[in-house]
Amino acid sequence: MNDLGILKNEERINLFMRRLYELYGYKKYRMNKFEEYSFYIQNKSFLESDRFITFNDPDGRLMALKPDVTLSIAKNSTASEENQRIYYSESIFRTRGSSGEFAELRQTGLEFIGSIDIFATTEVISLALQTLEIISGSYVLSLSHMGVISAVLEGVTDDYSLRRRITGCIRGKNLHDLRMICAQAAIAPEAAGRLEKLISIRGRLNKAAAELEQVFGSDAPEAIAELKSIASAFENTQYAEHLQLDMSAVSSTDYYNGILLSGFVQGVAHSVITGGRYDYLLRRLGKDNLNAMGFAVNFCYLERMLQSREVQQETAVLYDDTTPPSLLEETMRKMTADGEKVRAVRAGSGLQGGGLQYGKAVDLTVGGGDGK
Amino acid sequence: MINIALPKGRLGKKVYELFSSLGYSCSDMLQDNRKLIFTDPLNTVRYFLVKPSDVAIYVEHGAADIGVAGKDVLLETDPDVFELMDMNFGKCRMCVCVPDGFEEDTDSVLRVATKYPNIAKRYYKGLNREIEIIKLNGSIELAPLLNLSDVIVDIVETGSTLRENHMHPQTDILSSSARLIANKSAYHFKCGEIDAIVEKLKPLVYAEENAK
Repeated sequence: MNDLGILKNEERINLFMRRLYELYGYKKYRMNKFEEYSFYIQNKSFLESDRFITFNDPDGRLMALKPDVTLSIAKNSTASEENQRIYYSESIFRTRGSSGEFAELRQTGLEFIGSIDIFATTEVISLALQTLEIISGSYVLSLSHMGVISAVLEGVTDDYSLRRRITGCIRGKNLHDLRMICAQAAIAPEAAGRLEKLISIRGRLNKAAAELEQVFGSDAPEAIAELKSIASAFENTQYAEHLQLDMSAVSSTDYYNGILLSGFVQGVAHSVITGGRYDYLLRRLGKDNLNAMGFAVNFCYLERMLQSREVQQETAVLYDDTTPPSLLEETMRKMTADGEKVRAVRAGSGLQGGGLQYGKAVDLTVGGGDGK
Repeated sequence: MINIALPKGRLGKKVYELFSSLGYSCSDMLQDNRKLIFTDPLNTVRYFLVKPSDVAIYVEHGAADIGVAGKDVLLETDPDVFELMDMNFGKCRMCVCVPDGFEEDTDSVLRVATKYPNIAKRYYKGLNREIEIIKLNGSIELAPLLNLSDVIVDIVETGSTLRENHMHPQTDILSSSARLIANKSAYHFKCGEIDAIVEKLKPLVYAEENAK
């Protein structure tokens, strides 16, 4: 019974991912489907939307179905000597698409919580790359760094709303509006030119990180050193060509503070992996001694790609009142034990040949070739 | 192959002529037919003709790799796409327009008719003004004339439709022009081809701008 062929692609991929995370020492974390509504409202700047499905529990408390898993994991994390390695495969409840309707979405991901150094960062990035490799042969993992973006923005303006507008331009690779915003805000041409570099410097991580260092080496030396260390860790591996630097992978939430991850597979329109370093969230939750990094795989964007096109043909097992039930039971059991997909069909019923496509038929009726 | 979503109509024709001059031509596009998909003989490019307000949807969802959409539509729908270039044509203003002789009653809820409810809401939110949005899909100028709304928020190109209906622009909200947009995922896999298109477009677009 170890045939994985029966599983849907999504289930099979999920299984491979779970195996990968277990082998790296990550423990599965199962959680409630809901939290108190006030928890999400207090931390809504870390969420993409402030719309939740709410209900009252028996004590009259207002609850919300989980729109995000990481918030709950971060809330429940505690400082310990050993780093916590956690993975999850849970449903989240968010609005989806332009209709704004709520949907139950499957999300699998992992979190590394504790002391995040270059080794931990490399481990999480390696797992993100291996996850993408499980999903598709053609993939890109794009890295950005909030440390670089924040340092450059701090040198340009302390106006929060202006920073948000500039970040929006970086997210959209929008050079023309960035120039207009800089002109309107009387940002010096040299500073505006440096902001443009945040958009134009992109490509394979080792090369792009070196370019970044030339322009912003003195603004964010630690962040750039981290990017270069990551590039060097993967330089002579099969993953080097899949690892890119692209500053547009900037989150619209306050979630992340360091490295940001954005994973793409060919043929899927949206990023299938999102994640990064999220120390700010832990600070907000009062966990001053902890740092964290993780990512989530957004299965909702993979549904179409993963839909199996191969449908195993069924064998129709024909029976009628002349067929001993034991013969039908035994035939079905033996055929399925051999891996055949079968369906019992009453001879002469509307189902027989009525639209269902059978690979072949076994006739157990008296007078039929296979009946006894 | 690059898949390009073009807006039907004048803007789409202009964009196609630009792309065609760069070598991305497809003779079927110029024929008078009802086809919606056009592929060039060398299979380097495929064009889709879609409703202007739908271009960003096709690109965001990956049906097209790149497309050309108005900034007004992008601001209204806020699609998650890269905005790679200002094409410097299809220019217009989005304005609050009022009937001639209009005097605003600042003590009552302002009724605003528009095709762009999100832009209008953002604008009036910034003014802290209480409004009621009346979402219309066309002939917006009719709304104040029939007392359906007090003002309208709409695109103004020449202003002649407004003048003929005894209205005028009161306040500019934003300027719009055609933008080249790209799907974020497609860009990561086809950045060489897409960047080449942008680089080839730049001199043409800026030459046109300089000639004005």
